[in-house]
Amino acid sequence: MIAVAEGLEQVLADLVGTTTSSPELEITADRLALVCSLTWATSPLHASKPAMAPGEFGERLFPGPVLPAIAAELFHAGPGFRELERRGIELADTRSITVAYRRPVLAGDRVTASTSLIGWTPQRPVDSADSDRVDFEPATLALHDALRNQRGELVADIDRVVMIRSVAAARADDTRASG
Amino acid sequence: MPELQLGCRSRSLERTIERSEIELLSTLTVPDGADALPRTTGPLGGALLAAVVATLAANTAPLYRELRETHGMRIIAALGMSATFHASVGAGDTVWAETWLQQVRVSASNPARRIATCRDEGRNQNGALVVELVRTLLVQFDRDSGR
Repeated sequence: MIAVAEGLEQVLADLVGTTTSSPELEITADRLALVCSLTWATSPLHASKPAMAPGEFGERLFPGPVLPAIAAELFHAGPGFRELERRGIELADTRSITVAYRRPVLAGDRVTASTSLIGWTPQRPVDSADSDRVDFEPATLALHDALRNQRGELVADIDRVVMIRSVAAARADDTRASG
Repeated sequence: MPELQLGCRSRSLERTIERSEIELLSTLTVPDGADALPRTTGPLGGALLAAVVATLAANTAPLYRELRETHGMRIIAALGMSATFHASVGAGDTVWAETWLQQVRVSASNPARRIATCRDEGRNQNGALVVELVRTLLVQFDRDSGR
């Protein structure tokens, strides 16, 4: 059986089921143009205002594959992430992402994320020989982001599985090992 | 009209990721006024890697141009995407993707349209798998719309 440090288990149990709201991010024309340029999203759907103006949406669409990155950074800038940090938990590598697009995000939209901690799963600890602080990844978190536009309309449902680093657990483990 | 070739792999262009691109991409996804710095100042991993590989596959692999030109396939909307990560990509690494059409089925809600499932494998300059993607698209073929 895989176990995590007792204190960490309690912290994670306390946090499961909590939802926090992020600040807002505006999809400005400049931001959209730079994202399209950097991701090579060259389709007129994303990159051509004249091509999209007469159509159903009247504006360029933000590239859907970039929305999970937006959601992750919105969470990072909000109170949910700060609460994790306060409890000695750092987010590490993302294991997987699943996104369902509900509505297009257009140039000029403003988006926010409501992020819920759905659950956690213990992992085997990795070798911490190279680090005295963070090379200890005891669990993954399952997060759900509901990304909404300025009208409150759901634009994407995103599920992320993210490794965590527990600074507190790593320190406790080091203390036990050296004791 | 030729039959759709499911499972035929198509290779994207290669792209070498510069450090400045990683940093700028990270900055662009951070809300204005946020007091936190973007997390992705090191390797390109997670959501941003998925975004780069998905758009690389969709925009530069010949498959989608062939589907448009030979089969009259038009993408109406992206419905979803899933990504499984195997490794991160650092500054100076070169990524490319293999993409293929896995399945095309009639939309249950609109028989004139179809649901296409595309698979992408993102790899680095050593051929190592860095990310696997499944993208679902709502598409329409000219033959279905009588054009």
